[in-house]
Amino acid sequence: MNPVLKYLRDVNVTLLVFIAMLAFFAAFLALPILKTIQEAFLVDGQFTFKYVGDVVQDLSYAQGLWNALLLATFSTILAITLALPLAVLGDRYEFPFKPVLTTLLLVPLVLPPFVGAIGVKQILGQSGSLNVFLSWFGLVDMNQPVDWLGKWRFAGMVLMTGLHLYPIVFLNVSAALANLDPSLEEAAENLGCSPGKRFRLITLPMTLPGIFAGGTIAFIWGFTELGVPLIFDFTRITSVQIFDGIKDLGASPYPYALVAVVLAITSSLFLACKGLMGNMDLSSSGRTTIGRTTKNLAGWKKWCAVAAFLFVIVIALVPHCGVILFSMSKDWYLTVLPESLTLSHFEEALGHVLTLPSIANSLKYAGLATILNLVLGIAIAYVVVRTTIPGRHVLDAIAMLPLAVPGLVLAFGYLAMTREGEMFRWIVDNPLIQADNPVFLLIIAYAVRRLPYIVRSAVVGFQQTSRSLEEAALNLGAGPLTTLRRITVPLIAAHLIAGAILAFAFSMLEVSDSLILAQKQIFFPITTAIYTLYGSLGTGPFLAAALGVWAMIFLAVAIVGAGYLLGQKIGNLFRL
Amino acid sequence: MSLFSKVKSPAAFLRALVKSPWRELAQRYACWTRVGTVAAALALVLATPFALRPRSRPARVPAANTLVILSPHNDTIRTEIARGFADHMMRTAGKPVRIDWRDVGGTTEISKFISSSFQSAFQLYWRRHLKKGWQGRLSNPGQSVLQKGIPDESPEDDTQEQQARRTFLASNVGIGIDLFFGGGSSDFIRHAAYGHLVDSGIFEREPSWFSEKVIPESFSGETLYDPGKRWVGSCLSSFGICYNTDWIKRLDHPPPQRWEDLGDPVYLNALALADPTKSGSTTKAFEMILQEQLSAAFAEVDRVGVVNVGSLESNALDKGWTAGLNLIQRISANARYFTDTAAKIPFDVAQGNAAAGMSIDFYGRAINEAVRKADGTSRVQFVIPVAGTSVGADPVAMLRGAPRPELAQDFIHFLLAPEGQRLWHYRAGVPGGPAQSALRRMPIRQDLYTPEELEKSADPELNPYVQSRDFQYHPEWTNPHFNVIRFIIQVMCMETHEELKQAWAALIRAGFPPHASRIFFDVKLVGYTNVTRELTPKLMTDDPLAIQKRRRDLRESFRKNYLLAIEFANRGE
Repeated sequence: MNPVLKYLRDVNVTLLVFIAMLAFFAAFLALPILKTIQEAFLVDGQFTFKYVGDVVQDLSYAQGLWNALLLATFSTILAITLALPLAVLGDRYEFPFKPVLTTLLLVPLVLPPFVGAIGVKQILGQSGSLNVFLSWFGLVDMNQPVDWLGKWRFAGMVLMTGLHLYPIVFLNVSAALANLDPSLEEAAENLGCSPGKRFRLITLPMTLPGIFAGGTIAFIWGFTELGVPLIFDFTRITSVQIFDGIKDLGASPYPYALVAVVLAITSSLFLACKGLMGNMDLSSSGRTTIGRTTKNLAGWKKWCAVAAFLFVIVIALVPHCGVILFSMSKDWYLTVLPESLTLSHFEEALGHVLTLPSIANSLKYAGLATILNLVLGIAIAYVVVRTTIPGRHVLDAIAMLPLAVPGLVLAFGYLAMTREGEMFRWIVDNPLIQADNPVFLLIIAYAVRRLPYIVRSAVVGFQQTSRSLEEAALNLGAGPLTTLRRITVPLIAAHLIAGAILAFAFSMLEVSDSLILAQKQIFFPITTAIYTLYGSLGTGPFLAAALGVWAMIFLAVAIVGAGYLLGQKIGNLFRL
Repeated sequence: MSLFSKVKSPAAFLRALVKSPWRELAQRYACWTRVGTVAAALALVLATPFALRPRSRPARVPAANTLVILSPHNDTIRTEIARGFADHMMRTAGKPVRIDWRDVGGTTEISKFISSSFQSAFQLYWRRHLKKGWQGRLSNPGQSVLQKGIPDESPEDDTQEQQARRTFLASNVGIGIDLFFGGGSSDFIRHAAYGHLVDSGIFEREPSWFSEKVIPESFSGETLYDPGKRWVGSCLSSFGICYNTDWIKRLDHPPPQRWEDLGDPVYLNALALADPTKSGSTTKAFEMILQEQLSAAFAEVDRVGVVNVGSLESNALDKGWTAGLNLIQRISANARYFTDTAAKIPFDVAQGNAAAGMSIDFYGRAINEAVRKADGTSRVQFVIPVAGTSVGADPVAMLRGAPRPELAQDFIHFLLAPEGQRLWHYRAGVPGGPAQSALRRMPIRQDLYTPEELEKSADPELNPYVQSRDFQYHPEWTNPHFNVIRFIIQVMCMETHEELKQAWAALIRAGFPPHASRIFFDVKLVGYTNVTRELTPKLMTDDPLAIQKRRRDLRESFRKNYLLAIEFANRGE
């Protein structure tokens, strides 16, 4: 045998994958973060923890961290409380309009940047729709309108974050439920276990990886959420303190020290939770062999199910409806609905010089980033679940960190590491592209930022599929790659699709990287185009909302279409 | 076949038609119909912007004729200026030119971007071109000047940093961008000091423009062009108050006319303020609040009569400064937020999310027009506060190492010539004015405020050179403390905003009991004497750790005061 081939066969492939992944994170996560936050650790060129120590002792920052933790905890609980029952309902029962409802449940995910806040304020602001509507019934005096956003700020923030995040939990839990082996539940049922007990003892523990996957994303997201606190003008929260600090003219090292603290907290919380979860082997002996049947809900029960879905969807879509109505209004002020509708904003926004190229760019960047993400996600999940390499849990934790890093920090880091003379210059200056074309940089940036979704989904997929099928294939002479292609990937496809949908949608809506890295107009993605339109004098917000609505429609069609193609309805998407 | 053999009645035909063979076909190709449906839906969504795309494709312009401009200006301004400049160059020089606008977000992002780009460009130049080494971290030759001092006359005894600085200032190191256009003059002053900006040659080309009659070096205390010729203002802007007439009616209160009106308790939780830590022009607006109160204090001293000049003056300074800070406290306590997005404030006021706010003039005027009804009334009004504002320059400058210096100079020349200046204030569609929408900004040239010119202006009654003349700006009172003002607002109002608002609400509820009010308005720690003796000199020399400690201590004492004020107010003391 060729000695090279022999050598290659002998080295541990998984170890290579592990090292490759670590190298990837070192280059595209650690390096850009360090490039940006090094100031937090340097006094006159000397390494120091002084700034970090100061940050931890500072009462304001401590309160900010505490508020961030509270927001994360409560909004995660809310997201799980909303998503879990709905996921179980959708998995177990048939009821009217189920395909439509399960699909609509995911639509709140796609709220365009910059204009989302406008949508909320048009409805919930003091002169907003809700107050005017309530005043019809004498419930609100328009001379003293209720300040919904100012009065119950924390509760409002929890509600809005939870309602934005529950689709992530829903997707993950649905995938986990669909992969459950029904024979376990049937066995319990046959042995006389009551439905409640069955759920508590069998279903819930078996779905825990899915809840954990969705819950961690929701938690870290809530912990570092920036948009919602800004809508509520809530400033004593870490994300806003970092954002404000970075943009401060004073150029203080403290926001960067705060970033370091947030990263430390996030990763230790993640590892602690993972430790609590233990090394569960949740895969059943074989994969689902018995087809699962869904039960028809009878009479009033089915309408209850419909009502539950509708209730969540309607509340979660309030900001979206606000944005849509706003984009079509000539003026919308002190009325429940806009007085007169117009499509002229769409005409102007979609006909803008920037728009069409930016759409093409976004599709290119987000699409390629998602493909890159799939490759990385499978590799990481494989190492984490299927191997015993020490340090694999650290790799898993690292893969979650992009969620917790403020967008601006990573963006400035990428900018710094690809300047002329730097080691990674070739990313923006290579024979494939003209000089200073940020296309590869943006793809990598998007991919890193959205990697956690795919990693979490893929990890659950691996956890839930038995290794024995892969082993059988390997025993029968298939190589590792063939096994991966023919056995593993098809088995975890549902999880991968769920993760890919999230990654793609959020890549299309990515803000910081887009603004900072795509400086030339010909490279603008759609978010940058929305930002530019927003600044137009007079009609800016309307134009931005119109383009935002277009992006929302496109992503909604893509999500619904993906579900329709793969399983006719997204509820069945996870049942292969 | 089967379809026709069974035809007995129209109804049966229809039944058969529905039943077979289409259904079979549909089932057989179900997968493809699904793909088709989804593809069609996606294609439809994608087709809309495609169908609406602009018909005229911009002409290809060689790179040598493409001017690269880094700018926070909004899209409306960019479009009009780019069109005007291209027309002008085609007419005068017969060559097609194009502007490549670069944008990295707001002014702060642009500032960071310029600094970090120059730093790495210089490092490359130092290592690759000059092949020199460096001990430790190669510092930024721009910024380090502020810490390590300007190199002296003799290059022989230069430290490493001084040598780098000297080399940088003599070099043509560039970042591939020609011009920096727009933002507050404070950003330009800073980048000029760093050495990032260079003389574009416009002062030699048109010396007559830089005179008292056309563009004065300074006006109402504000610098309009750099004495070192590295930047020049292209238009003027000022801060004012915009308010929502419906909301004011609801409050049953006269509309705000001066900054002081915004400190009234009726505006509790109803104001929108701009964030002074993010922009120099916002800090300027807060400085004006202080200036107004200082003027009032001096007027009071004058009225009482002069006994001992020295003590009275310091007395007036102390009093006026304290009154100004107290007013800033009250205004901030009424605020819903401090934002760095300039367009957000007038928009929130227009949509009834705030009663009133601080707004940059042209945003305020544009929104006033945007929501104007057919009968000419508008629910958003914009006022320049009586005796409380000065105008600031919105500059343009050439960056060091600009790849196309001649074209850059042509652009600045066009912008400052009457032809370019008219774009700022003419109505849309007027010959010589903007093509699509009025920019509502004030030209910097005084000779554009003649009656003939103003006739075509979108704001014909507006002449800052007349209207702001009466306002006597005393730079000696507040200008040395410009950064300290920002620092004070940060600790006194922004970082303690929650407690400030709660204490203010408690005071209003309790009817301003004396003890609680005294604690609330106690600003001795940042009083004028402390500022001149302690804060201003210390903030210049302290290291970041010491500054942070000072900031934390001050913030905590303000927070304690506010909490104490709540306690006393609740007890009615």
